[in-house]
Amino acid sequence: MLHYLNGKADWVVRGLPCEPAPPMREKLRVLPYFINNLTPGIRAKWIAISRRGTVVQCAKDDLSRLRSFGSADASSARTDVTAVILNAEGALLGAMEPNGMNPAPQTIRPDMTHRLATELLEKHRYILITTSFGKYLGRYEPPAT
Amino acid sequence: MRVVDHRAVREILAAGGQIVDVLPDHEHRIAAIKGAIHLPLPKLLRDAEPVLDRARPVVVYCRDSL
Repeated sequence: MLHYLNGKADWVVRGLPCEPAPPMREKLRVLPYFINNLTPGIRAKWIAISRRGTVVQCAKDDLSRLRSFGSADASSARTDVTAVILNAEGALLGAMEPNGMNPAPQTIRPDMTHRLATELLEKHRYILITTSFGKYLGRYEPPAT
Repeated sequence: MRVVDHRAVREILAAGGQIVDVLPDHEHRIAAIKGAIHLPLPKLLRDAEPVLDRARPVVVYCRDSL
């Protein structure tokens, strides 16, 4: 299996064949992602220089870590998510919820802004922080105001 | 994990490869790579087996790399 990491944003901005053809608003929406894909180093430096708060500082490591096809104690004080399932490399495969495994929990990257993370948290009971390669870093817990 | 760029994706598709869009329904409906098979991430493990041909390369994509 091959991974086209730059994904749809890259494809749309380059004007490559889509089905259906992307409307102008979609082209505009993906443009910032395309630029960030091209310049991740510059983006990271800008984030550091601007001292923008990054969500990785709020990654709370309070969930049990289970290996795929293995078992471990998944007890947790939380009722929305009790554990994360990781592969041998630490990449996130899913999250254990009270009713079973969610194979596609909402994730964010470590340098997302708190504002965007908070918006996502309004739509999801919890969000997990992973690198762009899927490595699990922790559960996002908004800073106390 | 082997990462490919847009040029490699075009070559793989031209040679008969398969491309899988794991984005949610609303994202897929707006626009998708031409010829993409839509298997949203929550259904990927469950639905991939009968849909994909193991004999041909498979490229998966989401929205962006960040």
